[in-house]
Amino acid sequence: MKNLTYLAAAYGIVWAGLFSYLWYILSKQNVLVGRIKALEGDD
Amino acid sequence: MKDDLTDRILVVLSSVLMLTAVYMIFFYAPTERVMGIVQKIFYFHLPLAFMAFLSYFVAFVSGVLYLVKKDIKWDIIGSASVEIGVVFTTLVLITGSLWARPIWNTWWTWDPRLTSSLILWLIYVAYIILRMSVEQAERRATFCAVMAIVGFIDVPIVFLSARLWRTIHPVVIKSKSIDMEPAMISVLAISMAAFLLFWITLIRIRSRVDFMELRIRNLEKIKRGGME
Repeated sequence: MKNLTYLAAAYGIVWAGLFSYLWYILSKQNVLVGRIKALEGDD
Repeated sequence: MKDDLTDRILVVLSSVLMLTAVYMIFFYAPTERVMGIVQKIFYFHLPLAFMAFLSYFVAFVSGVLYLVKKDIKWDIIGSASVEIGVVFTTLVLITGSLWARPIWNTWWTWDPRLTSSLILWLIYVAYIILRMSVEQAERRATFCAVMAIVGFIDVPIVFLSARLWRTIHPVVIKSKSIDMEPAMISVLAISMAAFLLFWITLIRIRSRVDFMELRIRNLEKIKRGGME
């Protein structure tokens, strides 16, 4: 049972880590898309 | 638009592959006799380490190409690879620690494999700090290219550490064989494919973010020039 806790913690951290990083770069990308549109719209 | 669709397909594909891998890890791969269920951390731990090595290799190649061609594209690809490599190395260290606690009865030990992995992480964290601290773009790119090339020396050291020195870290992939059951090898292969696909997705998006930042800087420069 204790070993299962370590296993679940490891898998949880990997999934949470990878998907949070993906979410972070995707939101950064969305902000930049908006910024580019605004700059190009100013021309 | 086309990039968005490709990214979505890649995210969906890698998630499906990861779920398949998780299913196979728990319902197909045999439970290791000595370590028991906690050994299943291995199916994530090893692919994470390989993807980290791949990231640093890409950064190394990009560093060489930047120094030869002086094209900022290689600096962007290199920095994206390092950032992703650091994310993967962090997860390798955490999963390794969670595996070590029930098996070795300690969270951490100064074993050659563990120590060289920690040094690898520190080298590339230093790369990120260096990147943030140099303002001028060309100087930053040159410094970072050199650091990515020199830092890569630690990758073969990490890989060979468990073979060259006395260590408690297991060596599964040997020069002529893989020390595992065939069912374990197939599950590992699927897990490796899932992580590779996810890695490709991350590299694509992360590099695009940097290219966009470069475009914004250029647009702002043009705008400022027009106003003067």
